[in-house]
Amino acid sequence: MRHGASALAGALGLLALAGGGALAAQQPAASEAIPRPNLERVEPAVRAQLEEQRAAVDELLADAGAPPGLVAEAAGRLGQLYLLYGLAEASRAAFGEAAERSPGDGRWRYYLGVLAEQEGDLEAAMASYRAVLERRPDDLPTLLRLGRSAVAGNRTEAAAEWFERALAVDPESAAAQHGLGEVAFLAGDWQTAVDRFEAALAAQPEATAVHYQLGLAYRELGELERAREHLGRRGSSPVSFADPLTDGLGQLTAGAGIHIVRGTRAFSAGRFDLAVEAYRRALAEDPTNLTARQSLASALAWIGDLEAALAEYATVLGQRPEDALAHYNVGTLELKRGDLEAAAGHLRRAVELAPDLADAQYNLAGVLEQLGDYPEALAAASAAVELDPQDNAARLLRANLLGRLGRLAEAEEQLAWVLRDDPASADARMSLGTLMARTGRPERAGELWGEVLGSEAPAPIRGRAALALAGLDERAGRLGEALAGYRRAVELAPADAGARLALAGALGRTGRLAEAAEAFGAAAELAPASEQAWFGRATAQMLAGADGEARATLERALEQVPSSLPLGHALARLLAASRDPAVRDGRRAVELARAVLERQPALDHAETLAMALAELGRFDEAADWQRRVLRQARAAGEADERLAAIELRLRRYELGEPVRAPWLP
Amino acid sequence: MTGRAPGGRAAPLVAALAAWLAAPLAGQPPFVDATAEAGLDFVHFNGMSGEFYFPEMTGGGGALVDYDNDGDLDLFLVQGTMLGPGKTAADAIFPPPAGGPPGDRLYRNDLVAGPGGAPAARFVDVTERAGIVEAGYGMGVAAGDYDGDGWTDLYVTNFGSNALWRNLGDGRFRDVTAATGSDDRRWSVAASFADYDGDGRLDLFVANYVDFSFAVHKICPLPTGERDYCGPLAYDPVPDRLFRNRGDGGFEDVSAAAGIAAQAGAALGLVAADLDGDRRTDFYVANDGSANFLWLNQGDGTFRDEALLAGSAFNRAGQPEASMGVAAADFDGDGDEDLFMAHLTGETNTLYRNDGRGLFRDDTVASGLGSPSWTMTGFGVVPLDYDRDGRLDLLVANGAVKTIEALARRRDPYPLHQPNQLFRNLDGMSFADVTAGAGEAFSRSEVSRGVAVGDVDRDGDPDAVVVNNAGPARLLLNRVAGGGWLGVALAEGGRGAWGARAELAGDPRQWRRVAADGGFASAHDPWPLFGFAGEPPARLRLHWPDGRRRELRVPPAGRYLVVAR
Repeated sequence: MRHGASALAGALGLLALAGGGALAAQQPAASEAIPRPNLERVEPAVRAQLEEQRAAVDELLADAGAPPGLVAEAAGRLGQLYLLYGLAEASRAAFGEAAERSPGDGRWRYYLGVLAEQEGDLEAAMASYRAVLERRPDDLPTLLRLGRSAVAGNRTEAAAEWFERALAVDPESAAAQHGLGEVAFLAGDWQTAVDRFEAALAAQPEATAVHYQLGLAYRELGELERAREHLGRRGSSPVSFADPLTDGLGQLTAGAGIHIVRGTRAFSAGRFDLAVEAYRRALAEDPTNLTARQSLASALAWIGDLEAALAEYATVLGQRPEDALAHYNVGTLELKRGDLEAAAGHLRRAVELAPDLADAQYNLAGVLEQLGDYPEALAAASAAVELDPQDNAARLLRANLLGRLGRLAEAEEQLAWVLRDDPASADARMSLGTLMARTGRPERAGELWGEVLGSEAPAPIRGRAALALAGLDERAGRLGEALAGYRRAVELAPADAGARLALAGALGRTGRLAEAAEAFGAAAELAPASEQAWFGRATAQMLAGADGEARATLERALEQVPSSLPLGHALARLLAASRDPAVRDGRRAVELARAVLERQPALDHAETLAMALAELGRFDEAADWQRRVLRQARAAGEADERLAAIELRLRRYELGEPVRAPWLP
Repeated sequence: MTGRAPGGRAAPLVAALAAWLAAPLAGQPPFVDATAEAGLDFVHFNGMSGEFYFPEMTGGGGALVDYDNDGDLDLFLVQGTMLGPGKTAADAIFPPPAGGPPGDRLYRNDLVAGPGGAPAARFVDVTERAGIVEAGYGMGVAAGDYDGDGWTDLYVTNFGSNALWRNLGDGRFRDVTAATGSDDRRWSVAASFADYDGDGRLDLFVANYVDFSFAVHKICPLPTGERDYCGPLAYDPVPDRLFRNRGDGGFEDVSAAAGIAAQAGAALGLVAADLDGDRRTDFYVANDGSANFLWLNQGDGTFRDEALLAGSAFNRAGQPEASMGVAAADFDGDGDEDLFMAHLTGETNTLYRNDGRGLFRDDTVASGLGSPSWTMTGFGVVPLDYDRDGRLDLLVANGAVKTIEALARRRDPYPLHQPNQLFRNLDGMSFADVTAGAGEAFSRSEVSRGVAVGDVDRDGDPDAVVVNNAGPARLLLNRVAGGGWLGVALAEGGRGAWGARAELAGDPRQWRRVAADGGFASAHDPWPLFGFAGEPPARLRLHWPDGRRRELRVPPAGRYLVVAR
C-alpha cells in the first residue's frame, strides 16, 4: 500500500532541482551492495512495499542502459523506506548508491548525514551535511543539523559558525538561537546562554525542554529563584525546526507497526491526541491488530473519551475474551463512569484470569465496597495486600472493610501497621479515629483527628478531620463547638458536599432554618443527585413557613432526581396540605401521592393520599384511607402519640375539614 | 569538580592523544579472558520462550565478595529461571545449563600458584555446601555485613520476592528474609547497603523497576511490525524501598517516613554516597526513561529529591534518559563524587561532574564519552584504574534491549548482543575509547549486563567479572604490568567502614570511597585500590564517615594495608 508518495516527491523535488540535474557517469550495477534485510517476520504490507521497491531497484541496477538519475531516484526511494522502518544498514547503502549515481542531488547526502547522526558517527554526518551545503549554502535544516552534530562532537566553535549562518538565513529560528545557547553553555558563558535560550523560548514557547537548560544557566549565574522557576516549567518538547526531507518520510508508511511505534512515542510524551491519531492509522492498516486497539483504547481513556475507549476494549474482548488486562481496563473505566455493576463484573473476570493483578484486586475491592458486598470486597482487598504487603492504600481499604464487617480488632491491627509504615499517613489516622469512635474511645478518636487537622495534610483531608471532630462535639452536646467545626470543615473542603450537609443539618437542629436551607442548597448545587440535600432544603423551608420556596425546591429536585420517592412524597404532601393556597394543588397532589403509594405502600404515603383527597373535597375517600391507615398502624403496634395524630386527622375528614401543615410542631 | 576545560577547543588534541595512549595496548591487551582457566562455568539462563517477556533480557549481576574472610574475592552470580505461566524448560529458546538446576551460584576463590608462581584465581562452586537455595528469577545482588559480625552477607534482588542471605561465618548462609523483614516482592534490580542514619549499622536501599506481571505483558512492535520488547514506559514505575537497620537483627521499612516512597521511577541503578559534601549518605537512583532521583539526606531520617536543581535529573538537553547502571566516583581527582551512567542506543552515556556541593554539570560532550556510546546500550559501568596511572577509567558492559536490525538480518537467535567498551581516563577531564586495543576480551559481542570489579588474583590491579544474559559469565583478568599500587582495607570495630574515603596525595591526587555498590545489579570489592606511576606518594589520608581523619605514611608499594580505627 502506498500513501502520499506524490506529495513527498513534491517536497523532495526542491532539492532535486537544486541538484542541477547533472547526471553522474553511468555506474556498474551494484544490487548486492545494498544489503537485503531479513523480512521474514515483517508485517505483510511493509514487506510488500519493500519488496516492490527493491525489485524496481534491482531491475534498474541490472539494466546497464538505465539513466543514472533514474537509478538514483529508485535507490534513494528504497533508502527512504529502509530509513523509515529503522533498517539503517540497508538504508545507508541505498542512499550511498543513490548519491554515487546522482552526486548533484543533495537529498541523498542529506539522508546519509541523518543516518550517520542517528548512529553517532558525527564526523561522517558533518561531512555529508557539508557536502549538501556546497550546493545549497543556505539550506536551513542542513545548517542546523550540522551545528547540532558539531555540538555533539565537541566542535563548539564550528557549531557556533553554523548556527550563526542559520540565524542569518532565518533570524527567527528558535533552533539556531537554541544551538548558540548550547554552545555558550558548554563554554561556561552563562549569560549568553541565558540570552540565547530566552530568545529560543520567545520564538518557540512550546519548546518546554529549553526551560531546563535555561534553569541550569540561571543556577550557574547564582540566580536560584529564576533557576527554580524555569526548572519547574520544564517539559519534554525540544526545539524543533521544519525538516521536509525527514518529516515527509511519514507519508510513505505502510503497515501498522510504524504507527504503533509513533503512537507509543506520543503516548510516552503525554501527547495522547497524537497517540490516538497514530493508533487509528495503525488500525486502518490492520484492523485485527490488538496491540494497536488496546493502545488506542488506553489513549482514548487518557483524553477522557470513555465511551470510545470502552468501544475499543469491547472489540478487543470480542477477539480475546480472556484478556485479563482488557477486563481490568474496562472495569476501571466503568468504575470511572459510575457503572458499579459493570465494573464489578469485569474486575471479577480480570482477577479470575490473573489473580496476581494487584491493581485489579484493589479496584474490585473498592467497587464491591461501594456496592455493599463487604465480604467479597474484603477478599479482594486481602488479595491485594497479599500481593504487595507494602501497598498501604490496599491495607487501608482492607482495614475499612474489616471495620464495616465488625472485625474491629483486625481493622485496628491493619491501621496500626500502616501507621508504623507511614507515620504521617492522614488517611490511616482518619480511619483509626473512626474505629476508636465506634469502639467507645472518642477521646482517642478526637486526638487522632486533631492530629490530622493540625498536620500539613491536604486541605480536603483536614476538612474531613474537622468534620469528624465536629460530629464528636455535637454528639457530646457541644453544639457551639460543633457548628464552628462544621464551618471549618466547609472552609477547608468547600467542594465537599458531605461537609455542607453536616453543617446544614446542625443548623437545622439548632433552629437556624434560613441558614440551614442555604447550606442544604449549596450541598445540592455540589451534588445535584443528593436527595438528602434537596429534601433538607425543602424541609427547612417548610418548617420556616416558606412553602412557595419549598415547592420550587422540590420541583427542581425532581428534575434532578425524578425517581426519588422521598422527594415525590414531600411534594405531594406540600401540594396537599400547605397553608398557602397558591402552593396547594390537590389534583397533582393526588396523582403524586397515588404514584408514591403504588411504588411503596407505607402508612405515611397513604396518609398523604388521604390529605390530597381531602384537599379536593373528597372527604369520604380521605376518611376511608385514613381508617385503613389507623387499622394498620394499630396492627403494627405504632406508638400512642402516632395513633392519636392519625385519629385526629380522621376526625377532621369526617368533619369535612382538610389538614394543614402537619409538618409544623 | 571545579573548573573545566572550555568545551570544544581541545578535541583534535584529545583525539591525537587518545590514539597515542591507546597505541601501546595494541601489542599487549590490558585484559585477558581467564574464564575457563579459573574454572568459572556459570552460564546465565534467562528462560525466554519467544514471548518477549520484559524481565528475560534485563538481568543479571554478580558480586565479588570475600565471603570466607580468607583474603581473596569469591564470586556470587544470580541466575534466571523459566519465565511465564505454564512454560517449561522445553519451551526455552536457550536451554538451561546442563548438569545443574538453575539457581544462583556461589564460587569460592581458591587462589593457586599460576605460571611463574604468581597467584591465579581458581573458582569452585560451593553453592550447595553454602546452603544457598535461591531459585527466584534473579536480577542482582548487594553485599554488606548488615549484622556486624564480620562476615559479609548478601541481598539478592529478584523479579519477585528478594532474599537476604546471612553469612553464618562457617561457609554457610541462611535465608533470613522473613525474619529480618527485608523482603520486597516488587521487581527489584539494584540494592545497596549503606549507613544512612550514621548509627554504624548498614541499612538497605532497594531500587525497584516497574510493575510488570504476566497479566500485563505487552508486545511492542518494531516499525516493520515485527514483535519486540517493550520499554519501561509501557508499565507503571514502582517506588523504591528503604529499610532501616534496627540493630536487633531486623530491618524496619521506613520508605514512607523517609520520603522515598513518595516517588516512583523505573529504577535500574543505585549508588549510596555523600554527594553534596555534608558527610551524610545520599542516594542517587538511575531511572530508565524518566527523571533520575537525587535523594539528599536531610539528617533527620528523611530525604529530599533535589535532582532537578542539582542538574542530575535529566541530561544536558533536559531530556530523561534510559539510565541503567550508575557509578559514583571521583574521576577528576577533586575530592567529590561524580556520576557516570550508561544509556540506551541513540542516547549517550552521561558524565555528570560534581562541583563539590552536589550541583552537577553534564560534561559528556567535552569528556569524549558521548559519541562512542551512541550506538551502544550500556548496563554495567564500573570505575577502575586498570592502567595504574592514578586515574579512574571506565569499563562499560553493553547489550541492547531492542532488536538490532543488522543481527536480525543474519538470523541471529538473540539479536541484542554488542561488544563491551573500555575508556581510558586521560587527564581527569577527558577519556579515550581504547576498546580496540583492549584485547580479545573486548572483541566478543554478548548481551552483557552486570559487571563486578575487584582484584581477583591479588596482584594489585582491578579485574572484572562480566555477567552476560543468556550467556557465560566472563572473568577478565587485568594484565597491565608496571606501576605501583596500594590497597587499603578500613575496619571499624571489626566491621568495614562503609562510606569512609581514602585520599592519596600525589599527581594526580586520588580519592577512593569504601563501597560495594554501583554499576548494574552488582557488588564489588569495597576496598580502595590505588595505582600510581613512579614513586609512591608519601601520605595516605583516611576520612571516616563521621568526619574524623587519620594520616598515614604510605608503606612500600605493592601490598594491601589493613587499617583499623
